[in-house]
Amino acid sequence: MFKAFSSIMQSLQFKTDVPVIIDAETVPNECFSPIFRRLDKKSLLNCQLACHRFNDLISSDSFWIEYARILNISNVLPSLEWRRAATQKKFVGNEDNEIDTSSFNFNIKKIVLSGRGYSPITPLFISHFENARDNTISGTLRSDDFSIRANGSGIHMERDGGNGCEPHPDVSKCFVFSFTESSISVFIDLVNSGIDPWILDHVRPRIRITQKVNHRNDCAARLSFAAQLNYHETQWIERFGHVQTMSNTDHKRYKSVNKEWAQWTGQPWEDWTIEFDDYPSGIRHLTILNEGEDRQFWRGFYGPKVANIQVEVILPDEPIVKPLAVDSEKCNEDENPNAEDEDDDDDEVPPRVGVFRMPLFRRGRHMYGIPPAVARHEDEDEED
Amino acid sequence: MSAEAVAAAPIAEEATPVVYYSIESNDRVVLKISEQAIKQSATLSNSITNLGYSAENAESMVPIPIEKVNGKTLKLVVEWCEHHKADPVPEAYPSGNTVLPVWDRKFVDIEHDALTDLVNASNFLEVMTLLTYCCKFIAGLAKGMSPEEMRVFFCIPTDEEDEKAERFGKEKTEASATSADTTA
Repeated sequence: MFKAFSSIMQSLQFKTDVPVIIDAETVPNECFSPIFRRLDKKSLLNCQLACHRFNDLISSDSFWIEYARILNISNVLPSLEWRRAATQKKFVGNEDNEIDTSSFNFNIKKIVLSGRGYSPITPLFISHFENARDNTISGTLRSDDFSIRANGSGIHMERDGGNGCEPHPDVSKCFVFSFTESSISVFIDLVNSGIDPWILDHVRPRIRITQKVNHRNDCAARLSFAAQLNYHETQWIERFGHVQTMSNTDHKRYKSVNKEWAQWTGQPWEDWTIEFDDYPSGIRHLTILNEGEDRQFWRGFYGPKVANIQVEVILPDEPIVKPLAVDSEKCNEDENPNAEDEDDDDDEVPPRVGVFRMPLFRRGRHMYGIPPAVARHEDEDEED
Repeated sequence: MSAEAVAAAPIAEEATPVVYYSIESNDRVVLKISEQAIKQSATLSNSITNLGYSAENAESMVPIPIEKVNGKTLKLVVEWCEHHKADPVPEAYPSGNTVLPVWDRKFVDIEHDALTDLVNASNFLEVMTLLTYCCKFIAGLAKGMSPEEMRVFFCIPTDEEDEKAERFGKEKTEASATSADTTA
């Protein structure tokens, strides 16, 4: 309150005083860095547009490393060993220089601006539950970052996660499914989150997805927890997806955990983990699915509970690089639908028509403007 | 060469007399700064140490020349150092959240080119806390500005203004050449 008042007084005072003008030509660069460090991100981007000198100052890696330290988000940055290895182009596993490391640079600015980088990534749909009536979402809700298909009574966000089961000190919010199968999908663009493409190709760090799971003691429940690594766009490969929700899978690019609880089998919260450590080069996107329902077909929220979904990209302790790895699990869905227009990656174009895919294309045609992941979910609705 | 005392310090106890050092700006203004206040400036402290100044001979030595700071700005810096002479000196550049005290807020709220000179002077004399306060004040003003407003605020010429200046210079050169031809 006092700070806001001070800001108002400061702005008023600025308008009434003789205007303050800083002659930038006479001020050295080392004086501008502490000024820029105290600006918010939007003002920083405006500073970059003001002149070339400011653009060069703000574009340097050292500025963004210091900026991350001031914002107290240094954990988004790669470790010092990795930054030093990228600067000196000296990596473990490349002593014979078979791998060309000349373009292996960290985009520190992108890492800091994304706010994710190499720190744990949490989904972005929580605010939608907080703003919904009764903290419950019904129907379909989708964005670039997630898709929620809430059937039955919907999906409910429960505080402290203790209804019908033992609460957990780390669970402050959890998401409860209801009597018809519903799903929560999370789409993560790894490159836009600050993971550089050369890291995904030549380092291929472990990607770990963790969450906490429980169910009500008085009701039977079922939950599928699945994840896929994809090449293009934000997509869910249905052929893999069917296999993943039927049984546990442990492939290089898609893994899943499935579980059914019988009635009256109370138990504490469980930690579920999916970890990718042997995926091929070229991966750019990660898709996470939670699909669940209660088995008693009761009204209300008696299905499984999911909390604390978190994604970690874990660089090795040693700065190691590897040759490119070929994908032994590639399928037709991985073909790039935008291969003809490399510059129009954001355009939504229908996938290439093949004879065997005619039904899928026909069904998806009227959903032209919907992201592919949602179009496939709509197909699933029609099949039901 | 006229001496000007910045602050008439009260008469201290006989046991600990206040020692003043003389410093001279680039326009030959001589100022006195106390021994305790001079610690705020790393550059001045190092100068005193390296030049062999001490409490005994401080009064009789020639003033320390400060070539890059003018008298008006140096007076401001000395005033700030005297006001904060009891404060601890930060060892490194202070970072993180800085709170701007009320007195310093009024001190750095000065007009026209004085703030620019104050930033340059505090940077040269390595008065880190004063530099931090100046930068925080400037950042507070610059926050929320559009790129055009920032160009006005920081006196940055746009490409059109650069072209006009270039064209003006060219016309001036041609006019000089024409005059030379006419004379010949």
